[in-house]
Amino acid sequence: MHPELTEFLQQMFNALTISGVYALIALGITIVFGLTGIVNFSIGQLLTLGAFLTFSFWDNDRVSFFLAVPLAAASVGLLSVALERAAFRFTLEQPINGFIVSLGLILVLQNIIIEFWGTDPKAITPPFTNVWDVGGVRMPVNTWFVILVTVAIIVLLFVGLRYTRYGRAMRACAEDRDAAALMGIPVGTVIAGTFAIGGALAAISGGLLASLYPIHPYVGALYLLKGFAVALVGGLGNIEGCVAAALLIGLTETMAAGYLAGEWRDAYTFGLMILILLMRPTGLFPARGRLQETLQ
Amino acid sequence: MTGLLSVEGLSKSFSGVHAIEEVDITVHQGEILGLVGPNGSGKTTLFNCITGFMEPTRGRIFWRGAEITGHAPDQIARQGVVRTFQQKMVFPNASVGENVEMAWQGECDDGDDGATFKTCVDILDFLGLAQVQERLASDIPFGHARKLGMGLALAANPRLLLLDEPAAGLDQEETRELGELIVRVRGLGITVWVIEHDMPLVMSLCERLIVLHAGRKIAEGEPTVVARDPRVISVYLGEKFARSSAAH
Amino acid sequence: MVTATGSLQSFTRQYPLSDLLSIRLPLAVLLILPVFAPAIFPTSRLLSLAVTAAIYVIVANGLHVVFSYAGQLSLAQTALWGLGAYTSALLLNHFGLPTLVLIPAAGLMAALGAVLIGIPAFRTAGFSFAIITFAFAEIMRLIANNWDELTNGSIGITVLDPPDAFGPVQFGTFEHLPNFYHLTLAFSYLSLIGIFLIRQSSLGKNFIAIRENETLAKSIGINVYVYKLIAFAISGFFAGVAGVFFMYHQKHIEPGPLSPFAAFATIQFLLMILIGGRRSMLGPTIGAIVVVFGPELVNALLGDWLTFNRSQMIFGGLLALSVLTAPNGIAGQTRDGYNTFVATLRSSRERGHHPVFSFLLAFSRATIPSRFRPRDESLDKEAQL
Repeated sequence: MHPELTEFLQQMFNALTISGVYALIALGITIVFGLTGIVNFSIGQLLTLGAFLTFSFWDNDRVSFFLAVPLAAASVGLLSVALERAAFRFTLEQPINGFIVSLGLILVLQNIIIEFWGTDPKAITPPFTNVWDVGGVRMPVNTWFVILVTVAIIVLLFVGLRYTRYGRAMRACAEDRDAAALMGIPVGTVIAGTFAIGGALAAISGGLLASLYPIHPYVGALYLLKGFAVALVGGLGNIEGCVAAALLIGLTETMAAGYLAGEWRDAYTFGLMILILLMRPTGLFPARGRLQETLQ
Repeated sequence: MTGLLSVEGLSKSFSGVHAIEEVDITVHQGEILGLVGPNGSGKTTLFNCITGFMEPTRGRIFWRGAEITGHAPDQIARQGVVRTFQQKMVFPNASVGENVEMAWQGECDDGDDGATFKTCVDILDFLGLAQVQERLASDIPFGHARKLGMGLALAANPRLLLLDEPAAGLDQEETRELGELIVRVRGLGITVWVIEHDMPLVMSLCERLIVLHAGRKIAEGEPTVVARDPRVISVYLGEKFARSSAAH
Repeated sequence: MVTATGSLQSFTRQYPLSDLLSIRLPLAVLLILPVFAPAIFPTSRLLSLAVTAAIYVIVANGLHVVFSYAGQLSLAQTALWGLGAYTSALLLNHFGLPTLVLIPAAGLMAALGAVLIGIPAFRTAGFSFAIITFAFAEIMRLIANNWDELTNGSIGITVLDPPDAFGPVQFGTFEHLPNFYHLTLAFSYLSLIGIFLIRQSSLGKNFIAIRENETLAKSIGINVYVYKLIAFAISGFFAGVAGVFFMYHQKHIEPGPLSPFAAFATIQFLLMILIGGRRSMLGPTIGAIVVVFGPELVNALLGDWLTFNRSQMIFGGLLALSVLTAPNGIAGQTRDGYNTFVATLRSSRERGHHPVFSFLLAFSRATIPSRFRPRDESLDKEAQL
């Protein structure tokens, strides 16, 4: 194969991987926002916590990686519900306060992680170590596994939101919380459930990332920002838009970093986000509903 | 009579739906003009377009002969066209006195008229709010809040005051007071244009009346004449009101 | 005993307690107290912390203008701070400019940075604004990190030739810490006077109008966009000036993701304002002092239990808790308590209660949250009057 084509395909493969992870983080952010109007910045630390919990559960194959990730997701999901019950639910009337609460939680969670795991990076030996080489394009099986898992979760989320009772209740709450309550939907439970999903998605992203790259305790901030860039570009609250934006940003970032200057990788993403938000303050695919007003 | 503000062929549509269509209106210096019409007839949209909160799809707006179409709201307000709101009409976390101070813009930009009020206290006295000036704006009764909303507009030194349903939510006594207040405002040399649903108030207050229906102007003139207009009767005022006003 | 009570009563009639306890006197004492820090603090470490606190006060006061007054949550404050620090460090190293030039240069540079960020960012509002400022802040940090020729990249800049004097103030070799402290303190006082004057001016009234109700502000002729830019530029100026002192104090600045210039570090300043009180002029000052000296105090009491991590953890919790339970912060709660105290004391005295009883009643009402004490409707009404 032509070496430039090989290089291009390699970049595409990398872009696809990172897009999947960004999509997972952004979906967690977007559904919580869509339902409550709260911008939860502590998602980055939940991701980091997910990564380190996965690492500790796994602990050199004491527990299989395939089990460690769900365990971490469940733990972080529970923690997220606890935080919602203890703090976020009191800020539903003034979502900007929820945002500030989440800034406080960043400090709390970040330093809990450092207290327990220290500041050294941690790496998980991936469950699959062989690498496929297709015409010079190197595709580690583990990366394929990560892509597969992210796609599966995204599909599951789509189906769940569209066809299950919980999904319908959630969409009703996102449309109009008061009306949903009048219709007998347990709004509080639905919101708590959404926080659980948001936390679990962040933790899964963290666990998967830990199998791709070594994870250090400060990694959350960066992925949070990428997740937010994706969620905002896709139109906060819009799930389809989120996936499309994840692909857009993942591709732009990887391609620009590959073909232009690599050290500006993050700047490309933020630059793209700023440009898109200036042209369309509600993102490329704005969700309809009252919450969008808070973004205008 | 001089045209203070004139609207020429103004249209505004939202994704294909026409909120206002080809409206021509002239507001004369010193009058109290009424704007009525059923809900959704485009009254507030018209005010929004005039005060710069919305950009008209077509048409032009002239203020004292100069075009102001598409100008920013604050720019239009500083030229003397100031409007009030139906809801969220005051700054909630500030006292009544502070509210007026925040709106106080001192002398008017164009200079030739000078300020109507010399101080913020004058405005509070004028509105009869002096005794509640220490209280938080979110704590005062609704009737007071309405007056305060008008006070904020007055503090911005208007030549033309656009009032958006000032009597909505007021009881009879408060409505009567409001009518007197509007007359006193006009007495200061401020032209008043008011959207109102309270027909007795409109009939007693306004010298001229414009009726909007489905975004179009369907009648204009003296209130008693307009009220007898068969088109107006059929779309808005209804048989009952037409009969009762004919009896007077 | 009888005469003692009698004379006390005549005394309190002549000088009502509320006047004697007027908040102005203790406040003035508290405000002057920091001047004597070099004499009070036994170690240079504590004095060094006092310098840090004074620098934070300047940044936090700047953020106060744009966040508390104009209601715009900027997350770019630390980047603007960094812009000031880098500007002054480069001017100092390359041209050896005196402090007198560095301070306005850094301030104006950061103000310009704020305007350049604000021009696009203020086209959006709310969360979008916060996140766009965040993104700009990270881009600025990346520039400092990657533009090796100018900024020496991730290694950072070490201040080579420390300035020798600022007017009569000598701080040539950094051994003159008290001198440097007093200079920094003078500027933190200036920043306090600055936000006081802004709050009193029509500028401040316009900011607050925008915070309270943007649409209404527009309708009465306030150019919301321009005034937001002005508020942001002022906050940038404060941050830039603080950057000069930070650069002098640290002697070395670098742009890492965990540096004080990273966007996330803005949370610290937000924390100060919220803990101190976002509705009070002294809020940011009190908050900065608490954030800097709070951990020291705890460590002095509990040994060295409170590591940096743990104090950060506690402050994060405090930030969340203060938003949920005491949105007006320390200054706001104190003021509310003080007002309750004075009002209760006055009404109780007017009813002819014994002064000691009045004092105790007023004190308990001012300090115990209303939900923990029995309700007294009649007194409540009087207290309001």
